[in-house]
Amino acid sequence: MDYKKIKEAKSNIGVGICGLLFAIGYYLETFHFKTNSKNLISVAAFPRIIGVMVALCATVMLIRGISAMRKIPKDARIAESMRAKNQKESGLLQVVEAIIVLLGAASVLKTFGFILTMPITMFLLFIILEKKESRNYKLYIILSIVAPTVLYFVFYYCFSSLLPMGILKPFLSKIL
Amino acid sequence: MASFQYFGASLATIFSSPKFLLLIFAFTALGILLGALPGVSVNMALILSLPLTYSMNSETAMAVLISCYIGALSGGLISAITLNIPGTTSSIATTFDGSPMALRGEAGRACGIGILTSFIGGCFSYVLLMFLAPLMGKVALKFGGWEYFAIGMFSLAMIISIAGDDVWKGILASTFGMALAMTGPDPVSGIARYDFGISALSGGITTTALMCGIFAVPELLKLAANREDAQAEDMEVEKFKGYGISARELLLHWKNILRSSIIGTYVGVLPGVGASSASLISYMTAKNSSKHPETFGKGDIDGIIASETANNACMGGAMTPMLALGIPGSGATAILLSALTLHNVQCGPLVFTKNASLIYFIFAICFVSNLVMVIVERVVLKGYIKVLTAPRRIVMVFVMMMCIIGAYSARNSYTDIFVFIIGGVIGYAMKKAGVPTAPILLGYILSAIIEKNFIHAMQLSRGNYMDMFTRPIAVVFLILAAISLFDSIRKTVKASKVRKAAELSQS
Repeated sequence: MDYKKIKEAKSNIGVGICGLLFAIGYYLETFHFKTNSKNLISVAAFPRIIGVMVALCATVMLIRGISAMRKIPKDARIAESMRAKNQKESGLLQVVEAIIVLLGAASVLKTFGFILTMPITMFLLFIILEKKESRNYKLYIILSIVAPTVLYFVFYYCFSSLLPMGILKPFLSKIL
Repeated sequence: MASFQYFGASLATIFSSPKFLLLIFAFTALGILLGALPGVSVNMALILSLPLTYSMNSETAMAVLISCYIGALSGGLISAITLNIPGTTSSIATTFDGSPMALRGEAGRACGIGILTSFIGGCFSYVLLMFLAPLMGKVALKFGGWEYFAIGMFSLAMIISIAGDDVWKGILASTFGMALAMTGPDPVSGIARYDFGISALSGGITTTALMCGIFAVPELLKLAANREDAQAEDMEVEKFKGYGISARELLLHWKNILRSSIIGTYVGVLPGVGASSASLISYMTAKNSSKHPETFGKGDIDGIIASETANNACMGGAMTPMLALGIPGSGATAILLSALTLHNVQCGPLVFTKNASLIYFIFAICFVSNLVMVIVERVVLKGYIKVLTAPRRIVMVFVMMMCIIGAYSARNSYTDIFVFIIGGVIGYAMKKAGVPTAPILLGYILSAIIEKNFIHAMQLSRGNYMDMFTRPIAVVFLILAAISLFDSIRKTVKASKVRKAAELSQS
């Protein structure tokens, strides 16, 4: 029971701190907006109201988190922090890996194009999502190559939508 | 009587022409397919179909576009239920109960109910559209800036009350969504805000990128986090017959269906409010009038009925100001209006006399497409359910690829792919912290309505905000918003007291 309460209090404190930092940054940024004196309502008016609302909600979350934490006996808090130290956050590594793969794909998509980037991205995601003993590499390779290639041409011919060509541009320009 | 004659003649033309039937079938199916794909919006489906209509006559062009529109609007429910990722923004409220039903193995039944109620909602609004379009158009004219602002605030209060047990988390999520919506040009002066020197951000954040990020990426990351528990995420699907619900059982929900149809049509008539607000208002109204509101969000079929009936009823409503006043109420109706203009049809009060045959032909297409939608969706449903039973990890990688395409294709921007990923990571972190993510997107959508109309109304009333209280419709919606908000806070305080009392009695 204490474990659940501590977890909720911690998440409330975390959300509160992140929300407050976001709200402060968000509010301060409004001072960099260009202004137009002809406007009845300033360009920054709504963003400032929203910034204050986010800050208010975040403060409530923070206060709730702190007061909940105070009500929990000190022994329980110490036991929980020891438990958290000993227990690795399960799956965190895979989550980070998946985010890196997605960000990497977005970064190189322009240079390498859809047909080259997506197979690698898909293959890596298949591997990240599946545990080692259940992986079917052959299937992943086939799916990773066939699916993006087929989709690229479907989008081009059926929907007149051109996805990034990247370094394959000279080759693709000839066949499309 | 003339309207009946025109309508009858239009139906006869459609059913006697294999060309029209084939086109309606093909484009309704295409619309369903595109609507069901996460990352492809209704607008995108219409934009993709629009160039095909340039060389067609006005009747054929309308058959293509309206079929695609109806298909796409309804197709969004399939991925909302089976993958917990809404295909279109109008299906966000469908995920609240559709996904828990799918987790219980009732995905087929949930989709079947959604399809049938979409059909009923659509038919209801088309009947009203046919007979009351000129009258309903006048209702839309009574709505000024203050009324739209008030309806935006009312919808916002509704979002907060769907946030679950913790109202503060709901408020935080929806205000965060509103904050994201401030990125891009100011609605009046066009001055860029929060663009940080990135040219793509000066145009704002696209709804498609944000929606895909908030709903799809957390699903992928959740699978990654639970890798060791490989079988846990794969779903079982119970067998179902027909649409998964009998006519008698559906009739038991007639009040909800009728109410949601009226809400959907009414909200649809108001330009710029949209199907996502309609389905949300309808969902909350159904929850508040239910004898068992605690079952909503846990797989109650009334939630799906309310959301799906309203978002499809919205279509007939949205076409009313377009045809009767020449005002497009949404991006999709703007595309339809431009297609009509391309074929020299000027929408407005005179369209019912000048182009009566075409207008009643459009109504007939709406009915036939709606019917075709029910049939086609039932056929493709089996295929989609098979997708659901396929290993979820493989399906999610495909969904991720579709989302990247969707985020990029909305305006051919690489920045939107980053928005999609970063939005998703924030969504995952919020989910982990117990903050609901649907209010982020709904806050984002409503923010534009609230800010634009507030500024517009303030300009018209020369800075006198007290003018708002002289508008009866606006006052009613503001009172409803206040009641809804205080009710949510009261429920949270009450729940907290009950919890504390339970803890005290335990100790």
